[in-house]
Amino acid sequence: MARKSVALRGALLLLAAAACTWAQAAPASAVRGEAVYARCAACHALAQNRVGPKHCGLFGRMSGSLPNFEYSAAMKQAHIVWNAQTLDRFLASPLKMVPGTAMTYDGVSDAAERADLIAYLREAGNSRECKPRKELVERHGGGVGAAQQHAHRLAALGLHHAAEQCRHRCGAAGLDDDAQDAPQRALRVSGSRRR
Amino acid sequence: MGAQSNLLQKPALDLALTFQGHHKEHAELLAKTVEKLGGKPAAAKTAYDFPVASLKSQADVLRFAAKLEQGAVSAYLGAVPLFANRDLSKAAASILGDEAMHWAVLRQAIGEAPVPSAFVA
Repeated sequence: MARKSVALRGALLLLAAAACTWAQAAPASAVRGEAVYARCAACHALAQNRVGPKHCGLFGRMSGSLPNFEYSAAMKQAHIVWNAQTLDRFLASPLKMVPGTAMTYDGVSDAAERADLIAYLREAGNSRECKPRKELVERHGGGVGAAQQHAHRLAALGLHHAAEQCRHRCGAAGLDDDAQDAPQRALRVSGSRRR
Repeated sequence: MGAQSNLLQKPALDLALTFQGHHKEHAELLAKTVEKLGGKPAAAKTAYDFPVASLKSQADVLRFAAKLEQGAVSAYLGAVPLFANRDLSKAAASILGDEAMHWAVLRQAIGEAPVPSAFVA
């Protein structure tokens, strides 16, 4: 009985350890990141400058470089290119990375929350709010051009039959955006299934 | 913004006007505290860019306002640990409590659990 109890406890400990390892290794989630982003809503928005600058186009942007936004002198002189690494450092402690920034915020101390937030910011950069439909249509040429692009994507995934079908049907179906689920939608329109 | 949107009906309109009054008082208290400490308070912007075109109903306005109130709670929570001055911390903490009440009332108004968790973040 005692041996059984020890074995059970051991198994439970192993399970707990495995759960912890899984939790640590869980990939960043843009969905969770959106909930973290809600904390920023008093000062920031994706598509509009508020008290803080807008976040559309953030990745690859030089700090303090948005026209029509009044940055602090510290941010103007920081010369940081925003990417996952620099955002992670800044979000952990804005005032440590850019002393004198107007962002009087203690930071997001949890590394996993920061990763989720950064995943959301990256994904939101491609959202309709950041890239309105008109801009996408102009970029892809709309209709036939977009259909070709979806077809290329499907071909790149090894789905050659679906790609061929998409060349005929995706344009007519109005698949003229580059949303994250575009390949799946293109698959549905082409009448093919991912194998 | 909500109070002037023409999309709110009573009693939501009364609530928006009350909250608007609170926010004006918050700005006054913060400005006075900054001046007392020898600083120069930041002036309000001449215009704020809100997505008014996407707000088409009372529910839209209340949902948007709830998000702003949540953001305000987080902003004050993130600011308090940075204040070395206790008067400033006290003013910010007092405002934080008020914003949290606004957020809870607005959540209730849009049919969400008014107090979703034991802590705010």
